[in-house]
Amino acid sequence: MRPCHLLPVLALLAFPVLGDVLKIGHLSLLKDPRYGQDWGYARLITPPPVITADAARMAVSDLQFTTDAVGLSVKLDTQAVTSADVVAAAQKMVAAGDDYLVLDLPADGVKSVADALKDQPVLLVNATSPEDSLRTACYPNMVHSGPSRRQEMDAFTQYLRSMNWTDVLILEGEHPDDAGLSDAFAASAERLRLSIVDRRPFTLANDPQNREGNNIRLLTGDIDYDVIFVADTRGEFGRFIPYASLLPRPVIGSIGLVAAPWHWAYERDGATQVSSRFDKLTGRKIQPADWDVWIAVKSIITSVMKVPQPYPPLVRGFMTSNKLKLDGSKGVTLNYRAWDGQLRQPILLGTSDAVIVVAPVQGFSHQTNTLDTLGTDEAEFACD
Amino acid sequence: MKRIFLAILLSLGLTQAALAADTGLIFISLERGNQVVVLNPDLTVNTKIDTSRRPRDMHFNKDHTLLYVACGDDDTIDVIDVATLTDIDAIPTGPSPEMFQFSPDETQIFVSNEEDSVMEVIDIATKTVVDRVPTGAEPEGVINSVDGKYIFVTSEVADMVHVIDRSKAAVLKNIIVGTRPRRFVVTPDGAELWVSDELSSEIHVIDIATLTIKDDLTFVPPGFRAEDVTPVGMTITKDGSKILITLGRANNLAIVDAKTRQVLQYVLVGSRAWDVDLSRDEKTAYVTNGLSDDITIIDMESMTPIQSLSVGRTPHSIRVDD
Repeated sequence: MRPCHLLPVLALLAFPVLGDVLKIGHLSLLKDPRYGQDWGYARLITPPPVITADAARMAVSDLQFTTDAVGLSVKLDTQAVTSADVVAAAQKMVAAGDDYLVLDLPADGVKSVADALKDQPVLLVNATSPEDSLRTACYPNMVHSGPSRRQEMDAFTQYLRSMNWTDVLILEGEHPDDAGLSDAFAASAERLRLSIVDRRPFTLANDPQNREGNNIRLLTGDIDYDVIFVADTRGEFGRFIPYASLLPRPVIGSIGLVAAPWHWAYERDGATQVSSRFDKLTGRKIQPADWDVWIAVKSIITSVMKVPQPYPPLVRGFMTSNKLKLDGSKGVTLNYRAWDGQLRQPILLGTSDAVIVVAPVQGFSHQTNTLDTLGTDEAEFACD
Repeated sequence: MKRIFLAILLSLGLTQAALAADTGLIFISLERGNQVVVLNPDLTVNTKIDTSRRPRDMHFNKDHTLLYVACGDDDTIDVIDVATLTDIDAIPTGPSPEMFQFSPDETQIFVSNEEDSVMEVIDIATKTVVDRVPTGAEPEGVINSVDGKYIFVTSEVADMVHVIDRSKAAVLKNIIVGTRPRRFVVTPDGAELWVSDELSSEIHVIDIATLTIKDDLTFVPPGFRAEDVTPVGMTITKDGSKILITLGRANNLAIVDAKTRQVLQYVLVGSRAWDVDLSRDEKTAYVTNGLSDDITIIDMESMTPIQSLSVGRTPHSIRVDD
């Protein structure tokens, strides 16, 4: 008896054909620290609460005309739980028939759900965790709709290259994710031969004995550079850097010029219509995480309609082939990379109220698909 | 006495209007400039007409006395008097009108409301909405069948062409095409509907008699990849022999033999080629280039570009009055 070989066959028989119901689960946290409204000690006024289930609903309604036309009824099952209950909730959703799960979870949550469900014939879409370690984990039933860190960092380094801002000073916070972000930037910078002139830790305190670590002018002095890259994933100190550095230099990374899959102010390629539909539906401005979830649900529905049998492993195969031509309102067709399940996509570099450039930056080419100049390319990719 | 005077005035007006035809003027809507630029036949600027915000699609009435302009941010279709080159009226529409067509008898306007997912039917005389046909999200291209029985509308998000039965003002059939379908041409014999699919780089040809897809074409100029090709605007010669297709980011215009489906010539134009129109004698083609803020003028006999001309912010549509 070799159940692992039998499973797909049995599952094929069990899965519905068109004319039936497509059940998509959306799993998020009740309190996601990434979307916290009171980051740091200053009780910042940050964007309105991010509830990406709104974006999942919009995707279903956007495609309703098409799903109706082919007789497919889409049911969305949205669950928000505490981080301790994530795995149990995911298992329950799958048991209740959600063959497709869109995960709006921090990396540890994505990892534990993926480990728990790795032998199930379901499709997991990691929508909002950028960690490249989730890509190199090579979960057989997962794809990633939001950009990887590396995609975002490559967008920055392409832009720096094109501007000839080649010398970078990195300022880095104390959170472990901050070091991860700096590492990703440094790896990308190496590929495009930018030079990291120094990598300096920033501490959030006024201790006079550690002035080099908490005084911005000291922290940015004693060295020359073209641009400052701030790695501050928790929004603790980054906002104090622009206009405060010893040398008058632009600031990028977690503050200043920021890389993201979406920006509410993007106005080309039909982006305005997506943002204003979202505004109308929710009464708030669309956030990058909303786009990640919207495109995740959109790619599931689009692919299910195009495969002969809506069986999740087949759907994943279709998504990671060049046959998927997904419209993300970013001007080019999108599909998922075969090697790491990552959605190929343009990355927007924007300030708080404008998109400055869209990567791939003009002039960067690739032998097969220009979008593969962003993120870990096939030749340099290896599973853990 | 007063009435006679009015009648004289009116007839004077009419004469003037009749004289206005065949001016040779070229009208270009500037999506970000909130203006319609008018060029003289010698390509000098005649005037710039301020319109409502975000002017996009434009159409002349049959005798070319009026030019209608859909203005997406003020939710109107403005009316420009061709004789005086002034914006004389605005017909209210639903949110974000993009593309439109007149009914064959010119009493109604069929307009796609991009943000409302509706095709509105507006009575021109009373300026009232007489019907609203729900469509898939982001409806765009609108065109009549030659016999006037159908109105075709693309939905950019639903990836389909809605076939609307005009007599019932209801969707009769949905035809799934490529990704992000945008614009149409109908062949003059009424047999074929060509649809440009911007993101899947395809042109779908639909057989109007059976309302089924009959051909799926791709036009990739040398040196480009299929994904660079984002076809949008199309126009067809009066004899139905040639179809001109702008290829968007591939910065080329494809001139295609409508019968054999073969490319006769790729013509290099500006950045993100968008709309295309032909002069009445079909000796000249005009292309708007949305990202380089210019138009390209093409000699149709040699199928080569003659000149590119800066016109202003984000040229959307171009129409020639000749």
